[in-house]
Amino acid sequence: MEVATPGGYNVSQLARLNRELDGLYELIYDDFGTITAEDYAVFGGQLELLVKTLKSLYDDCRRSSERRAFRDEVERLGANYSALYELNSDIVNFRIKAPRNVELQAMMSQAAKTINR
Amino acid sequence: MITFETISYFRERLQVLSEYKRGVYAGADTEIRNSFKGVPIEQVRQNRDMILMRDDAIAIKLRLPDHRQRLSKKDGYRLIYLVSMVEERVAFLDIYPKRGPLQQLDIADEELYRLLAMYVSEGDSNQLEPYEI
Repeated sequence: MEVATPGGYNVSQLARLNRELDGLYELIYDDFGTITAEDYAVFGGQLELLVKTLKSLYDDCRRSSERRAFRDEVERLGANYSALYELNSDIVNFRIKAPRNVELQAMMSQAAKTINR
Repeated sequence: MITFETISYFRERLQVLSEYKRGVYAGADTEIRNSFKGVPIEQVRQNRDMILMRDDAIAIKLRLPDHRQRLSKKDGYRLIYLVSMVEERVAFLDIYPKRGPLQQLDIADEELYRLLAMYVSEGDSNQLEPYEI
């Protein structure tokens, strides 16, 4: 994936980055239900770094006063950052932490009893 | 026939969205109805947005579009619901937008715990209310 650096990108580069981020999101989202803690140990660090980098890039681009086409791509970048942030958070919270969270599992058990009575 | 019910927190959140200035989130209610109208229970249960699973119930974070703002499922709303694997019963727990002034980026496991606790409590005290699809 191309890495865009603040101050060194243009509309087409940002558009290409957004297309690649769209693809990455779909790739991870498709596998969300089967991702394990072992899987996340392999790619989690890189995903977290990517999310942080995107936030920084988005904040930098947002301050720029370029033309409309550039602003549209910056808005897409913000949406892609938000989507990947959420995906990473869901993996950590619900694929890794939740199965080990005894209190949450106990509450889910109570909720299951309520909805099934 | 599927029974839909809501906790008070969900109703408050939906009301805030519905009444938000300039009608930014006025389409939330419609998006929920469109996502469940005529949908078989198997489809309501089998969703790749599952976040907590048991043999008898599943918690799901459903991605909803926002046609009013021309936003895809990725960028629209998030609906948190509980669905029974035994009965044709669904409970709406929370809804929030991914974009705009009231945007919420994610939901933590502690927040899901709180929503489930509210559902149990309101179920015990008969405070759950039906939601007509």
